Amino acid sequence: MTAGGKEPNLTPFIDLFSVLTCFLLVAFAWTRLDAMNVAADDSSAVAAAGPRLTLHLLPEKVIAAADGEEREIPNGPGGALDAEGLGEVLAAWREKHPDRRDVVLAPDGQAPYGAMIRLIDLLNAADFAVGVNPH
Amino acid sequence: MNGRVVRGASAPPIQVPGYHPRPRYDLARTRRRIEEKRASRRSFALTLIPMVDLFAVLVITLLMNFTTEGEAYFRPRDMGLPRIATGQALRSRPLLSVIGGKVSLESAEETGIDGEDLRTPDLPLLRETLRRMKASIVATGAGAAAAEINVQADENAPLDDVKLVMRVLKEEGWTGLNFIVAPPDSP
Repeated sequence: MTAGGKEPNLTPFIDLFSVLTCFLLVAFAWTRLDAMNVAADDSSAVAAAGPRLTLHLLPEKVIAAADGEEREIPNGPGGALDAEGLGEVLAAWREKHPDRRDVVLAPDGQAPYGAMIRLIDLLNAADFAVGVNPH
Repeated sequence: MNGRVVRGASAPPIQVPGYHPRPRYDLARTRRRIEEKRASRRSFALTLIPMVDLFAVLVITLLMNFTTEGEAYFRPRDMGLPRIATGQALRSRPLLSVIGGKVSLESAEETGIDGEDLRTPDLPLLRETLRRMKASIVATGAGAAAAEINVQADENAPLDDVKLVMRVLKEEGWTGLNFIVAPPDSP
């Protein structure tokens, strides 16, 4: 184990690995988290005046308001959002207004925060830009 | 090295002793064991190859989970984040937490606040800190980042609390909200 022998000198390797390990341990992502970007301004999400789709999130249902009409989408069993019912509303809206990809979300204060996030997730998955009206 | 016999003219033959008198007891075995022990001490070497292997695996594992996006956030143990499928990479922004009717704010640039009661009228401490943080970020030349903030809350928290905070953020010019969520496959 001497320098110049048959085996390589491992001491520099160990030094390097020690420094690398310490550095990477400090920068280690112990819990992976994601983010969901939302505009906290209903007017900025809606690009221009014209027809708009507004979703009112209530604790037990979602009310979709568009073109002067309202449609209720009751929550499914266990209080989960009815993704199918919402998908139908979005498909109908897209058929009528293929150039509008924006939705205004007006959540009720009694609804849980998680329900709003899951609703935005469904809208993002359907390729809609969401603006949340905090008032 | 046995002794050899020297013969004189008249004297009886002299028996020259050998190198060592024959031991009464078997010291050869003891001596051999001592020699072996001494030799093993001389040839002792720490085998470093397994250690290098271990370090290499460790470094690869850590590299795979390495992040430069500043996810080292304080997250209360009892806070359950909503799980969603369409999350994006979390970026390093000031962190606003809504926990148990209180709001906390922390940032790398400025001293934050720790638990202002959301029932406080107009939330003056939060507003003041947000203004200070915005000015600090603008001063660094990060234009778009000055309007973005990370927000975390428990999934069962009432939306009244979150909406109140959102109103304050909007009025103070923070319109890009990054809600922190958990990926669906997180433990």
